[in-house]
Amino acid sequence: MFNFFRPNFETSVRRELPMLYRVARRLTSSAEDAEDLVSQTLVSAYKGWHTFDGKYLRSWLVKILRNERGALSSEKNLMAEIEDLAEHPDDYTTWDQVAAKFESEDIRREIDLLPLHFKLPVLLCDVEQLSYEEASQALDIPIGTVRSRLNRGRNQLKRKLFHWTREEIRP
Amino acid sequence: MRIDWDAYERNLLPAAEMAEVMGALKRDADLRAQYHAFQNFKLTVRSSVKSESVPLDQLRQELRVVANQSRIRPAYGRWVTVGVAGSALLVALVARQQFDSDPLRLAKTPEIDQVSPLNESEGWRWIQKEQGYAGVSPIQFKNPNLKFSLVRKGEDWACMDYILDGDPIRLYMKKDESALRNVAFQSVGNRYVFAGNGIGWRSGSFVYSMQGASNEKLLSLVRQAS
Repeated sequence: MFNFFRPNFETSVRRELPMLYRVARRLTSSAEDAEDLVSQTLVSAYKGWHTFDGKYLRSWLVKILRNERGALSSEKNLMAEIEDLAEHPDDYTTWDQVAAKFESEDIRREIDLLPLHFKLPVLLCDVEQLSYEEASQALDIPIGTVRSRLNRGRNQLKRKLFHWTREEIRP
Repeated sequence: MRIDWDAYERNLLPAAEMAEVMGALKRDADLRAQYHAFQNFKLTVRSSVKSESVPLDQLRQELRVVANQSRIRPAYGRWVTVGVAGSALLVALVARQQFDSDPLRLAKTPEIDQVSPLNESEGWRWIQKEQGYAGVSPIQFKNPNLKFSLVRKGEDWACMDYILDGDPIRLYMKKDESALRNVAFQSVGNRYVFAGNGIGWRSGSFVYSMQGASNEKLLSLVRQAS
């Protein structure tokens, strides 16, 4: 049904472009691929704009972006890996001591190396500051799973960065 | 004491647990250090990703092209389209008249640029520099759940964007001597605020408006701010 009050596509999506690009950039290997992925996402979003229910635009766009990247199938293949990962304590106390050693580029590289299941919750919740509910909608997983993967993602990232620090300072 | 810092930050803990954590944070320096380290970790990750440049001009151009692509309609649909467009125009004119007369609608020109600074202070500095708003007075919000996200500008306005419990909160500002004159203000915190479609106030030659949540929620944010 035609909706007079549907928000304008260009105006609404325009403000989400930086977020879309940042997520796309972490899911692709180059800036060019990220731009292509955002372009494909925009085309699909425009075609499907009439299906958008007006709630959680960012979640809706990320979901399209994931579909465009074909992320759904590869995520399924990683299920076993996720379930097998051991829990690690949420200890951040030593973080302040090592944080200054990292360049932004080092951290981005380590985020890029995270398994997709962990990377997306970290990107959406910690970087783009989506609510659990928005992330849950974007990733098609329950809120509890978002929280669990976010926690594990952070822990894995922290562990990798600490490991990297030890390697760096080793004589 | 093992605390889910994320749930604490997002105000998702049950009220009793929330009060317990707040009390423990006041008493326990180690716990404060732990919370600070958690916040620092998240901030480092966020700023690392957000510091990478975004080809915004190119993406906006792409979006414009996608949004303006013409759609082919069957011939029989033309008269229906004309009828619908006519009705829509009438509705739009009435709506526009109401919209334009809204004293809290400050962004009447299209957005030109936006950036994601590391923090709120950098956001204010960007606005002051980009818009030449030397006299703009930054507001310091004190609600820990209010997360700063980005700053935007139009030809004659600027905006700080925040997220509160998943809702986007927008603080618009504009240099305008005539806006919000002859309206009824109420005293909220240290400001005199007008409540309409959102809330707004004047400061010097600047006018501010906040939108995105219920007026009650917005007034509470301003009440706590300095």
